[in-house]
Amino acid sequence: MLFKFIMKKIVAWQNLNSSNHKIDNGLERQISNKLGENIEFIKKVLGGSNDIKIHEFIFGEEFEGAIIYIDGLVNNTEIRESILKPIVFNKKINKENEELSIKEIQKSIICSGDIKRSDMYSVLIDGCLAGATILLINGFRKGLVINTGSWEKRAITEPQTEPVVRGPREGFTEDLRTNTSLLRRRIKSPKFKMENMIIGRKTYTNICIAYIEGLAKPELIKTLRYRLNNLDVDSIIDSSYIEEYIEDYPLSIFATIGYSEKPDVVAAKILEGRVGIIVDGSPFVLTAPMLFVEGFQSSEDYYVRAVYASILRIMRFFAYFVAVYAVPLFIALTTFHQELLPTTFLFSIANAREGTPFPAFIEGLIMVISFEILREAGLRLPRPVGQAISIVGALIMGEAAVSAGIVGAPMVITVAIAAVAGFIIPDQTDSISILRIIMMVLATVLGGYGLAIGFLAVLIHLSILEPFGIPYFASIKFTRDKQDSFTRMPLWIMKDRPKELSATDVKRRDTYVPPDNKDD
Amino acid sequence: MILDKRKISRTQFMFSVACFIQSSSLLTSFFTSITKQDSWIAVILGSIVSIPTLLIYSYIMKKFPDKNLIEINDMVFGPIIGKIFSIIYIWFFMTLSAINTKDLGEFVQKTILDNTPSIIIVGALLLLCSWTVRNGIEIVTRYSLLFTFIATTIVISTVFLTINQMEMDNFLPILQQPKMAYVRATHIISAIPFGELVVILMLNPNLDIEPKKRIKYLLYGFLIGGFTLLLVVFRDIAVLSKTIEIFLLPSYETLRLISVYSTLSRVEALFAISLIILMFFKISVLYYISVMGIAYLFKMKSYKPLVLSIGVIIIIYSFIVYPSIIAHMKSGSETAPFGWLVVESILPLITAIVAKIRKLPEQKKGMSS
Repeated sequence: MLFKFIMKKIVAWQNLNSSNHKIDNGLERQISNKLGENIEFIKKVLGGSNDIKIHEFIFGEEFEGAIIYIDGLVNNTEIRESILKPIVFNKKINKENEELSIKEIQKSIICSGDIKRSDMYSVLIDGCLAGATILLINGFRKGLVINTGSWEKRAITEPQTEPVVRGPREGFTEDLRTNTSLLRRRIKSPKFKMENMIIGRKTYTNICIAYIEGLAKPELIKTLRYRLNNLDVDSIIDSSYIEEYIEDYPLSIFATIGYSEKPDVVAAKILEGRVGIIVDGSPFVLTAPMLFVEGFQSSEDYYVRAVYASILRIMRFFAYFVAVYAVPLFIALTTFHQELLPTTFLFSIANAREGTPFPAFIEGLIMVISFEILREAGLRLPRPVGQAISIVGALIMGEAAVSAGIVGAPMVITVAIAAVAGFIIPDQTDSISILRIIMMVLATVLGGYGLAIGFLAVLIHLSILEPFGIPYFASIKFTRDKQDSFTRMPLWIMKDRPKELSATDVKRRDTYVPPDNKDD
Repeated sequence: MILDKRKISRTQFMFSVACFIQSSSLLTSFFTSITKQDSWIAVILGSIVSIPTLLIYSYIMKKFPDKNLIEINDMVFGPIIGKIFSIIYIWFFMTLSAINTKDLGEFVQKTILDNTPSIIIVGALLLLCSWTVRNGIEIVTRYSLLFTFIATTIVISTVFLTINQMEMDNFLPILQQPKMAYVRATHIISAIPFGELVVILMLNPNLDIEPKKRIKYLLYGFLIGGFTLLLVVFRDIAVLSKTIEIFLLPSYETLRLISVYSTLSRVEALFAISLIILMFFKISVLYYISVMGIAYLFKMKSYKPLVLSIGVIIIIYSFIVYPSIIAHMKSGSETAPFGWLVVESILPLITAIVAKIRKLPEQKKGMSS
């Protein structure tokens, strides 16, 4: 309730502060038919940046032309071979008929597949900044925007975040086109649609939403399109910006939009009825909506044998519980419910805790927080130093803390187990860290009863979440999608797509698999 | 006027009924103190006796598929008498919530947190319930399946764990109690766990099931719940024998006895877990129903402003409803069943008969003719 109230206030406050942001930079006007004027204007707009190249040339007999491009964003060979050479060596250009001849230049002279004709400065300059070459000719009221974009890209490499033993090793790169091509190569259906849009008042970032028509819910696509189109922001640097702007529950600890660096994962999610959002400049492709169970589904589950994958799944759910509840449970047991421990175990814990000065909660908090610090340090530092951190931090500090009597050895073990278990579910690592501390407080205040209350509260929170109208915690219900949550059934059993996600095309296959030999 | 538009699916409804009965299966001392080792007979008799009541409920549900109890009262008895009946029902629902809250608070304070003030224990739970209730019936009942699964798993696994303690001789002598004892125990069982199912009449408009099929899912849920209750009573008698009559929480005592090579011992924590989870469910449902009852009684536009205030009333009521646990026990096994019987069976029966005589609901007939 409080949460909703705060959200309402925030939204109201935002509306109060927002004025009409109209971009009026003087570009929305037509170009003149004098080449000199146009070049002057473009020079004025783009300033004296030294990567802007303006090349003026004369062709035919008396035609003056100019090409404008940004060095480094274009392919020089292509400009030379497909724009300059055909124009300069062509003799047919006729001055009388303006419209015909600029069309003619576009259609029959320039050898390029992607040409736009426009008479607006804004279109020309936007195109130029996106890597196209502008061709202006004296006397014509229209210019050509020829796509010659080509720049240095990172090669397709194996992603660092999602390594697999068995399965495709390609990863997305920072380039939008490469990413779309990786997806298109996996889904060749003509119904696989990619919609382009440009977001960001300053960055003009290319964004592409990818989905399969007739499979993804139309409402989902509509909502996404609406939210993205109405996004009036300054900059989009990474796909996580988009995630934060369009998600339903920005203050929840659970992520409702997923991401992946692997095209096979994104393709599989699109084939289940989700929508992919590819952002130029980010190797992480978003998939919306993300359901709770997705954090427990690794791509490799589908590449190894079903029984083993199911065991791994169950282990992951167990690890989630360990990661969240191990430390709080230890605190609750040693503070409130000593009688539940076996006697010998109790003795050894009492022995270890005899010399420690702090109550279990403070002890646990010291360990959990120093673990988070160590993890952060290990992530941010350059790799060679990171190893030193882990040795100093984990080995020396842990050992010293125990022998100095600041924390007991059982607590160190518990925190270590919880930490390692948390790494098994990479998508939920942040929610685990927060939940762990909340549960520790509850366990300290109310013991086992507090843990039960906390567990129920998390369940309620999960059931309230409905990203894009689809229940977040749905697939863990026993009634639906039971084939692919706690266990991963063999692929030939999973003949339906998740019902909540897919609209009409629910069946994955019609015939019996594996094919029966007896049929002819 | 529908205040909560979210719908409950079949599975949710079925397991809500089961979960509702299971939550009472933990507090069996009301009747085990009367019929002792023959309590299992009382459970079976009680289930059979309850079936007519369930049929009355399903008749009302079929006749008024999109009305809840308060609206049905208004339609059947007119605005004045209907309101009086509604107030009686709401009082009943709030008393039940208060009693269950009290039960849980007492249990937690006695067994887990003996130094914590009970206002903290009860307050934390009711705060959680109010969060659930505010978000509507779908959230309240969504986890019924999970809770039933957890509770049933605990019951079945403890049956296996106590096999070494069980003795079939503990059931003897059969049918040697005074005859009135069976009648009393049967009455208690039909009133306290099974009769409380009258709450489903309040969930009626939210059910996403065809009116004719509601009885089916009601009975399925009833069977699951009743079977669990029977299993619990069987297990407790087989382990505890006649001493079952002296314990306040027979199941808890049974689980305390579990000891498998001293590696698996002290599993009464499982009892605590299932009690807290099931009681959370039951209190949420009762709380929700009290809130909805009052919202409909006063024809409010939204039930949400009521949630917190009624939660506070339930907490206060739970402190004053019984002076001590002995008084609670005594009333549970002696006076309460008679009071409950009026609300649970006689009022619905009157409603059904009057509806039949007045040929209600009228609109439907007008539509069909």
